[in-house]
Amino acid sequence: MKTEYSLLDSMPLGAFVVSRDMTVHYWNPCMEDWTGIKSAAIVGTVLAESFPVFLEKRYEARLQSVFGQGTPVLLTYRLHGNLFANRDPSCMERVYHTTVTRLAGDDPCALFTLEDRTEVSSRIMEARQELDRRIETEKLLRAALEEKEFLFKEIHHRVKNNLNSIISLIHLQMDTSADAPTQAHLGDLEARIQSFSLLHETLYRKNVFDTIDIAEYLGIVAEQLLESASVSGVDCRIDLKPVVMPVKKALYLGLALVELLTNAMKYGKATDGSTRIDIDLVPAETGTWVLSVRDYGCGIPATAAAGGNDSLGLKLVRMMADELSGSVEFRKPAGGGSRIDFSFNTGNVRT
Amino acid sequence: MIMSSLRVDALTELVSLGIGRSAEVLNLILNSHIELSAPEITILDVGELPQALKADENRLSAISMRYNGSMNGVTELIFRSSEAGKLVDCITGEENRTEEGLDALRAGALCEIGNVVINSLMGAISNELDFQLTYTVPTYLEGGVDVLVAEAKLADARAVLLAKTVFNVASLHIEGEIAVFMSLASLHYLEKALDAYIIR
Repeated sequence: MKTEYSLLDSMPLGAFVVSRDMTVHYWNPCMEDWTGIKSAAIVGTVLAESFPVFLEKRYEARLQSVFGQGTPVLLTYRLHGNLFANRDPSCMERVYHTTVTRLAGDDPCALFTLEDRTEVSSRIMEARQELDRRIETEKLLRAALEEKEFLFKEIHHRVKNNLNSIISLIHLQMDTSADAPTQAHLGDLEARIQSFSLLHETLYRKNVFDTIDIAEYLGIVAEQLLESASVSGVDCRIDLKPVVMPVKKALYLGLALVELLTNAMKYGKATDGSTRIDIDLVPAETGTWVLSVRDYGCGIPATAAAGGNDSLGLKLVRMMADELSGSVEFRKPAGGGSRIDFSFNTGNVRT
Repeated sequence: MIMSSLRVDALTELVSLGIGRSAEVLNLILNSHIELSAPEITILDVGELPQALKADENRLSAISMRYNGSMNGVTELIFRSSEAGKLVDCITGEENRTEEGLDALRAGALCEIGNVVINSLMGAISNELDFQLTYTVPTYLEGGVDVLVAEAKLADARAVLLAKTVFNVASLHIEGEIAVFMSLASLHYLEKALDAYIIR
């Protein structure tokens, strides 16, 4: 039977019309499907007979404004749940967003339109569950990261302490030895191990574990070595440009600096008896840096510059340069003395 | 924009009446007890709104309803999005969520709250001043002040009645703003109606 509301029959929305006394005048096919109530069964009855929730005062108050002022009213799932549940309890609960608007006329009626938001709601709930899972996972990852950092810090602290114990033992051995060459060898060994210890101390103090500012670390190594050196009155100028590098590279560079500086202190005394040393760390070509140590002494022996008869120290320097894909250059600068340029690559470290 | 203190007093009375009614309706609907504080009213040019709403708050949530008839314009209930989320979660008894913005379900619930407040407010004004108004269904807006103003400009609004309102739910105090945007002609109509209301 065709009615004035037949236009609503084919709407993909639930739609029904009630008069001011809440008698149902129209019930569209969508409402029949969603509620399991046929139009013939509900039209002509009061809505609350099928849905007693509409006897509650809160709905009376809301719907009053539709008939009174003509203001549209929203009834959302979050605040009301499913107001129009299917008669068949085995049917899946659906999520409806209901809008009530006034239909103008001598005897005003209210049009209820129900928009099915079940799919949107399911997607939101799934997204929320996923978000909650991710938040929980992130919390676990953060906790694991904090634990890892704590353990790394602890390891660096212990390694530093163990190396310091070794340094102390070497120092005791030096004190008990009367032989000058033996003392010198032990002193060199102590300085080398000291450079390792300082690296671990710097990492522990800075609370970083994978990279380090080489300039800061090399500065500490140089100062420590100058303080503990047997040579007094060394005038050392240090100019290190900051560059962050992996820890492993730092270890090689620290050891190289110990050797170069020890060498300069030993053999860099000028004819007037003074010892002056310049340490520079500067960028060269792309990806390459140069650590140079210059003294103002009598100069490098030709055999050393040629690579023959290297001392253990210079052998170590060459080995470190290989590890860092770099090279060692011996130079005789104008103004006297000698300079060793230790160039190294800041790219991938050979492992 | 200047309005005489007598008119502002009358308007404050009407807005308070509407806010009071909306609190009654919200208490009927919601499980939580909700109180709405007495509003402070100002009349502004639409261009002054960003400053009044602190334009740096670029994440706002609003419920908007257009009205036409004796007056033409848009009424919006505006919150900072984070506050809007807290209000919805408190009212629906859900655990407070931290994500920015509101999903469709939370936005729907906020729309209904806005619907109640705007209906009560506009109902009080139109009943007391004998206005005949029709309304569109509420819509949810999210974004900066420019988004809210753009919606108002669509309705040719030049003036705005701004009412600061605080929602007290449980231990939460959530500030919102009710903005009634209107054309200049509507503002003059409102002023005349207020004058008639005052001498009544």
